[in-house]
Amino acid sequence: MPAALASRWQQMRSRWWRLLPTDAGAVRLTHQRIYILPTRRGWAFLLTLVLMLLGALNYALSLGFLFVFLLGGMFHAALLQAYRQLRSMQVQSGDEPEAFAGDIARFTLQVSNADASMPLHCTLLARDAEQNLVVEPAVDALAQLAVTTVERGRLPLGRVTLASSYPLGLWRAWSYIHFPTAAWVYPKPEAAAPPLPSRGFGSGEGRGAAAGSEEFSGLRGYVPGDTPRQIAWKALARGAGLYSKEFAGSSRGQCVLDWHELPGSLDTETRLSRLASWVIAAEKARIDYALILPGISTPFAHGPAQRVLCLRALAGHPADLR
Amino acid sequence: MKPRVKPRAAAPLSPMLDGRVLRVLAILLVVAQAPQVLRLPIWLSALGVGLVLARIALLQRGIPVPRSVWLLPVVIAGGAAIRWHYGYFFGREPGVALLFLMSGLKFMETRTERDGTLIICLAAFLAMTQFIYMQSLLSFIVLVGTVLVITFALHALSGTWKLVGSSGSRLESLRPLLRLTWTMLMQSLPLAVMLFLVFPRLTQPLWGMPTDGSAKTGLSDQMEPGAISELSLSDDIAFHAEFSDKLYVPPRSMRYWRGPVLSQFDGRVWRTAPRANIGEFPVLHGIPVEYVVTLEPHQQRWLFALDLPSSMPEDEAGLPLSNVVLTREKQLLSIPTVGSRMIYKQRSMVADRFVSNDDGDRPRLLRLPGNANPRTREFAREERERAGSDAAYIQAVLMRFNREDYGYTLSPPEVGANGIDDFLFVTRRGFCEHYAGAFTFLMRAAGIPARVVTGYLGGEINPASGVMIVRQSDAHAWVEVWIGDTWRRVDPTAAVAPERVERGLTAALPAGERGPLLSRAEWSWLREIDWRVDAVNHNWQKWVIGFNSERQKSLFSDLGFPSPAPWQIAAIIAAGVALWGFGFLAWTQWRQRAHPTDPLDRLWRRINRRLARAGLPRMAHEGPLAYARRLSERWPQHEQLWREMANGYAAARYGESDIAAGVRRLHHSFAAMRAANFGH
Repeated sequence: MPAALASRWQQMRSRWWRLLPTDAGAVRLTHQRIYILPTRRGWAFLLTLVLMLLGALNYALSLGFLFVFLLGGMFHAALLQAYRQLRSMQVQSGDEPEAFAGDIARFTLQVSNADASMPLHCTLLARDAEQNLVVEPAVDALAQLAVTTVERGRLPLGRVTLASSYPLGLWRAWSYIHFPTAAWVYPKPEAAAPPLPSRGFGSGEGRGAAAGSEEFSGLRGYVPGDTPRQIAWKALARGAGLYSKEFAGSSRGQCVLDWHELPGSLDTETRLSRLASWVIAAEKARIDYALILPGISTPFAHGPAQRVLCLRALAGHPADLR
Repeated sequence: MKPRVKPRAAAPLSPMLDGRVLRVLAILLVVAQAPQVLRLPIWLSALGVGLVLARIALLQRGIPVPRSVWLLPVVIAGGAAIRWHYGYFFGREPGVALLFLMSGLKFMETRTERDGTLIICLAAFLAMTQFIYMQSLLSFIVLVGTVLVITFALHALSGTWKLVGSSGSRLESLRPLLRLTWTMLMQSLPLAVMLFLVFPRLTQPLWGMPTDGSAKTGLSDQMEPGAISELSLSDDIAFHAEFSDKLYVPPRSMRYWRGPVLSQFDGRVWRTAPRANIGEFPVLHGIPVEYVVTLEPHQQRWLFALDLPSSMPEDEAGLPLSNVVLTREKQLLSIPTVGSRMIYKQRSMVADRFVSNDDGDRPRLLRLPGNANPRTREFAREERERAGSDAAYIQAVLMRFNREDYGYTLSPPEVGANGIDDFLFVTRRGFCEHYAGAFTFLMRAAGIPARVVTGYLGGEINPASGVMIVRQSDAHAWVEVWIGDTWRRVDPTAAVAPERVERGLTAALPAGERGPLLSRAEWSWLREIDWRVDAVNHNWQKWVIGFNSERQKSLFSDLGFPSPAPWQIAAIIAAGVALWGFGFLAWTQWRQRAHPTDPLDRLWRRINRRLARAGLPRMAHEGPLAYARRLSERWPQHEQLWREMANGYAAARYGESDIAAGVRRLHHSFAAMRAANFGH
């Protein structure tokens, strides 16, 4: 029995405090998940009201009663207003952000105001991030939660607290939302990484020979030094001017970023850092590259898709067993 | 974004206050201090308000605030000065004074938001104390204003308050704020009214109500020469009386309101008997009247009734008031002092004599101390012998006052040790207390038991309300003599200045002497205003301020709970709070549903309204494209605009395009319409 009770308690706790990432899609805040309690200022104000009430009672001051009760009514109205702030909100999680370890991952949440009559004021809290937000009536706003990352891997946003103490700061209404969103945290690029490895795959020296076997990819203006084989004779014959044929990878070469080629003295994290910095360097130089990790290898390519593929592979590399 | 070591650390962050919030707090403090400024000693008012203004002046000039240590001497000196001024430290008056000073001092060292919270709490408490001293209609207006300012200050302090930059005037940017405060006030009103009505009131104070209330003007339990004439210049209200039968109000000359009865004389001062003995209602023949008295608090025990009371005072439900007794001298006494406004229903017989057996008191009623005023004693003996009877003697003395050169004045000449001798035979100028005192002395010296009765004579009906106002300026003293078994009222002043009895004080004063302000002929316009204010105030006092535990009891019995238990009251309050809260939330939710909040639809409706104003409303069945066709027929020169508008809406509503893009397109069309002056 105690075990059953304990597990039931665990369930309730999990539901009340949103310990698990069970939210998905657009979450409408309802009374089931809105909590509200007085703030410190609220308690202080309440205490003052009680003291004032005692004074009014003792001296039988009718206006004293009226004063205390009007302020008490304000206190109650502040509760209703704070509750209304959250009740009109709808929250949706944005894309998964990416960042290099140590940098800041910017999670986005879309907060919609379903009330056409009033702006909503709220604060979003998650991990070390805090963001104040004002959402105009019937408008969607984007909140950015800037979370500091520490190590590579997946960094879940975790539970987000949406709080509002609008308008008087006497009550704090809050809700927990737990989306399964997680940031991709890439290895921190090595600061002074060696230059890109020159060639992979036996690195065919004769550029022309290698290029010839490649696939035609397009025409570009003639540059002095292009070989006669590259010149688009047909275009020249049509009188279109001097063009060179371009073959994929032909002009800048390619490289292989191979885990196994790295010096054996390096530990896992340094290797990943170096590979990450090489990915960045290769992207900058716009050369095709392939990444080879234990168990994973990618085709040659460059561009955003390749970059993300490689960096995610690096981020997801299993850590050393310590 | 400020990275913190521990996420959402509970450690209180107390960010600094910005200057704008500080100014709002200053306004709040001044609003809370202002009602007390005239009442408190001038140095304290200047210091309290000065500290607040000084803080703002420092802020204005960008000078840093002195360290809190520097305020310590001010705290000590202020505390000592308050102790010196009031003569004691622990009590209500010095307490309020201290609170006043502290509010200024605390503001001087206010830096953080937490200080701001404290300032708001202090200001609320300080504002509360003003109602100890005044609960007029004006106080109510101040109350509502203070509530609004407190709300404003809380809002400003909570940081969400923003003046909308430079766009629009300052006043314009305050509008949403004013709307918020006003809405919240309206939301709090129903609860406040409910709590006001049902929250239990006490019949007895929780802790001893200190009797250090500032000395009120009014009658006292002793009468020395000059006491009443001083009172006569005050326009303060002693009480109101509302006669049940408006058709019969006794004439002015019969409106003797009985107050303290003074039967002890020490040669100079007349005093009440040291012990009050419980008496009985005498057998009375006279005109019965019934009226409701609203007695202003006077910090004394006696209640006033028309001469002579024929019943014990009752509350509105018709039950006799507990804690009130009738003395043998036919005076109504409340056992606790009257510290707050008191309302009671009273019945009287308008009569100038009553039968009472006071044989036991005879020696006391004849007592004259020592052998002062020998000439008066001699005169009394001779006159009594010459008159032959008590009644004839009384007549003779009154005739003397009337025939001989006696004068009625507010400022009689000085008299010596034998005051009554000097007055009767030398100065011959005096006010009612001189005549009443001298007459009683003359009676006792001739062996007739007599006593001085003080109270009020007259009062005027306020034409604006039909309620009689009795002011301190109506204060009067007269005499009762006991002949046979009957007490008879004799008013020696009437013999000297009959106008005093018939037409009031001002009419009776000699030319060149001025009565109280409101009774002077040249101030009649002021009296008109005063009557109107009094009528409103009287109802205010009666219905709002006078709402006490007895009223509450009768309200509960009207509602069908004759005597609700505390838990029932708690249940009523809880139900009211919950009902109002949930009702309000449900209502707002309903309103939110009833008015769709889709920005596209709202914009579309706005455009439709504008076009309707321009003369071509959209039919209820009409789709956007059909409407655009109709618009193009009417205004072909804008055909492009209509098509773009309809397409923008339709594509977003029914097509592929997303809402935001639709809203943007509609905004363009809307701007073009405005540029073309449609709907103006």
